Amino acid sequence: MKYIHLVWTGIWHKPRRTVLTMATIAVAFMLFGLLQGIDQGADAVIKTFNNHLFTGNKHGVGQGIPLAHMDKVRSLPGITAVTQWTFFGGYFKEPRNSLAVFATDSQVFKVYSKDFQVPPEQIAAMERTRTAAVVARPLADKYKWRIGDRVTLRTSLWTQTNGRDDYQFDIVGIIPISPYHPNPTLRDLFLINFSYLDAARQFHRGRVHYVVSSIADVTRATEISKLIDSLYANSAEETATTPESAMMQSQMRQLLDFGLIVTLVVSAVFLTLLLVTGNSIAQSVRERIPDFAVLKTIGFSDLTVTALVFLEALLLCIFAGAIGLLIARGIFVVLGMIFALTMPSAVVFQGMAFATLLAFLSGLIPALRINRLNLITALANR
Amino acid sequence: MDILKQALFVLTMNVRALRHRLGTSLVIVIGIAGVAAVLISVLAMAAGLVKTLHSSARDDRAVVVRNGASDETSSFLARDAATTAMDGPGVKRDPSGKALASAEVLVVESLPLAGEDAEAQISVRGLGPTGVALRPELRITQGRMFQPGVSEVIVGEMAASRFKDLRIGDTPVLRGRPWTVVGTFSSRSAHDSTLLADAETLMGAMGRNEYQSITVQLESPQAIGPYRDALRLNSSLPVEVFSERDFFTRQSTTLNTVLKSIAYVVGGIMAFGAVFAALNIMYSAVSTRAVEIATLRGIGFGPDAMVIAVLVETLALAAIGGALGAVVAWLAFNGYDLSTISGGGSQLVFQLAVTPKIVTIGIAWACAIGLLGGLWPALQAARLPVVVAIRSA
Repeated sequence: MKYIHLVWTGIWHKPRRTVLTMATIAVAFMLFGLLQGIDQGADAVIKTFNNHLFTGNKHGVGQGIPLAHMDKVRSLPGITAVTQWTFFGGYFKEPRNSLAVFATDSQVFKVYSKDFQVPPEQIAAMERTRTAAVVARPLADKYKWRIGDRVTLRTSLWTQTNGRDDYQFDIVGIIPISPYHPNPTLRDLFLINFSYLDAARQFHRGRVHYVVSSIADVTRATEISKLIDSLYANSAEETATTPESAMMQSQMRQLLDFGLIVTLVVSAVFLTLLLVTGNSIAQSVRERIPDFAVLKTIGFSDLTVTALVFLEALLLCIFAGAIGLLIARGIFVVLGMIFALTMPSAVVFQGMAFATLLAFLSGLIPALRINRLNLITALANR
Repeated sequence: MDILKQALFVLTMNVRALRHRLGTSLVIVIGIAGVAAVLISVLAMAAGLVKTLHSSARDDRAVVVRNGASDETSSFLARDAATTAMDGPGVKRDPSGKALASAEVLVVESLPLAGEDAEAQISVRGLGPTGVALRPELRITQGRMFQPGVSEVIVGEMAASRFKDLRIGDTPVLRGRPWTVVGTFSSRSAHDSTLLADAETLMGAMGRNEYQSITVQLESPQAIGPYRDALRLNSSLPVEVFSERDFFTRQSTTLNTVLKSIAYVVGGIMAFGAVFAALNIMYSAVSTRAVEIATLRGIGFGPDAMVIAVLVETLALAAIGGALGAVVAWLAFNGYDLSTISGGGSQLVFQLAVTPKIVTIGIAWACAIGLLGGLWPALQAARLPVVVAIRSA
C-alpha cells in the first residue's frame, strides 16, 4: 500500500497522455458494456421463459397434434398445468390488421399464472361463453375494445363448414400486461375458446398446434421436454418439445445473427485497444527508465519494480474500464425504462476481467524491460 | 519559401524519419483499420441484403397486392379480381397470346436445417402457369420443372444448401403432405432461398381459394403508370401496384435501417475512441520531435507549414489505416453467407457485399478520424516556441 503513491505519480507522469489513454479505454469498455449488455441482457430475459414447454408436431408445427396428447402430458411428474394453443391467424377489419389470436382453453391462465393474473370471474366467463375472447390490455387499448364488446375477426386459415371465414367474439376479459413485457406474443394476445373454433372449422378437427405445459422447476426444462417427446417417439404422431425460451431465441436469431456482429466488434475493439494501450504504457515507461533505474539503485528489488509497472497498468486499465462500464450502465438505465432490459452484472465482471487482461498484456513488455534493466546504461542516459 | 513549399519540405523530412517512429505510426494505422473494418463489415451486411433483393428486380415487372397489405402474406386477392388484374393494359403476352402474368401464393413452412438441430422457416411460392416464363433470370440447373396438378416442387440453390433433405428425389412435408423435389434452380435473387410449386396445387393443399399477389411482365417500364391507373379506376379491385424494385425495397427497409444504424452507431463510438488514440499518439509524436520542429521554426519556417505537415501526415496514416481495414473486411467477409428473416417471415440467405461505395465511406470515416486526431497536435506544433530547441540542445 505504501507504493500507491509511487504508482500514482508514475501514472500521471504526462497528464495529457494519461487522460487520452484513459479516454480511449473508457470508450472501448463503454462499447463493450453496451454490446454485451444487449446481447446477454436479451438472453437472460429469454431464459426466464424456460418454465413453459411447447409441444408440437415434429414434422412441422402446422400439421398439428391430436388434442388427446394433452392427457398424457398432464400425467407426467414435474408438470404443473397443461393447456393447448392453436394459431388462429385472424385479422380485424382489414388483412393488414393481423392479430395474434390463439385458440385455447381456460387452463391457459394457470399455465401463464406467473406472467399475468386474470380475475376468476373473467376466466369463468370464458368457460361459460362459447364465443368468449380474452384480450391483452395493449391490444384492447389499440382498438378501444371493452369487456362486453362484440368483435368480428376474419381468417384465411380456418374457413368454416358453412363456407364463411368470419368469426364473432365477445370480449369477456382483459389481460393486465405491460406494453413493454419482454415476450412480444403476450403483449398482443387474443385468446379464444378452442371448442368454438374446432366445432366451426372445416379442417384439422381435433388437432391443435401446441400443447403448452408449465413446469415447476425451470432447470429441468430440457429434461422434461425430452421426456414428453419420448412418449410419442416412433408413433404416428411424433412430437418435438421446446422450452419457450428456445422458440423466442430462434425467432430473434433469425432476425439476424447478432452474435456474429457482437463478436466481430468486441474482437476488433480489444485488439486495437491492446495495441493503443500497450504503446502508451511502453512510451511512458521508456521515458521514465532513469527513474526506475534510480529506484533499483537505492535498493528496490527487481521484482518490486516490475510489480510497480504492472500495478500502474492495472490501475490505469481498471479505473478507465470501470468508468466506461459505468457509462454503459447509465445508458442501460435509460434504455431499461423503454425496453425492460437491464445490463446483467455478469457483463461488469467480464469487463473487469478483460480490463485486467488488457493491463497484463500491455504492461508485459515494458515490465520485462524494466526487470532486465542494465543500471549503468540506464543511469547514463540521463 | 511559400507555405506549400515549406510544408512539402517538412513533410518529406518527416517521411524520411518515419522509420524511427514506425511503431507508433503503425499503432495509428492499425487502430484506425480496426474501426474501418467494423464499419465496412456491418455496412456490407446491409448492402448484401439490398443487392440480393434487388438483383433480379426489374422496372418493367410489377407486383400487385391487396390494398394496405404490408407484404404478400397479409394480402389476399380473389380469383375474379386476379383475372381482371392480369388482363390489364400493357401486360406483355407470349408468342401464343397468353398474358405473362402469374397469380401467386406464398406460404411459410418450417423445415429442418442442415447440420444443425433446429428448424427454420422457408418460403414456398406457388406460381401461375407463366410464372417461370416471366422470370427469364430463373434457370433450372438440375432436374426439371414441376408439373401442375402434382405435388412437386423445385428448390433454389441457396435453400438446398441451407436446409436438410432438399435434394432431387427428397420429399419434404409441406402443409401436411409430402412433396417431391424434382429440380433445382438458380436466379441470383431472393428466390434462391425458396421453394417453388404450382399455385393451384399449393392452394388446394392449403385449403385456400385466393391468391396473394400477382406478378406481371409489362411491355416497358413506362407501362406501369397506365397499368396502375387502369386498375385504380376499377373500383371493384382493392389492389395496389408496385414496380418490382419498389416492392422489394419496402420489404427490406426495416432490416436495412437496423443494420445501417448499428454500423454508424458502433462505428461512431469506435471512431470516438480512435480519435482519442490518434490524439494521444500525435501529441507524443510532436513532443518527441519538439527540437526539430522548434529548430525549423527558428530558421524561419512558418507555423502554417507545420500545421499542414502534421495534418497531412496524420491523414496519410489514417487513410492507409482505412484502406487496410477495407482489405481485411473484404478478405474476411466478402461473400460470407448470412441468413435472416425478410418481410413476410421467411428466411433469406444473402451474402455480404463489400462494395466500392462502402469502401469509400470507410476510408472517408478513417480520414475524418485522422483529421480530428491530428488537428490539435498540429496546432501545438505550430505554437512551439523556439526556445525549446535551444534548451534541449
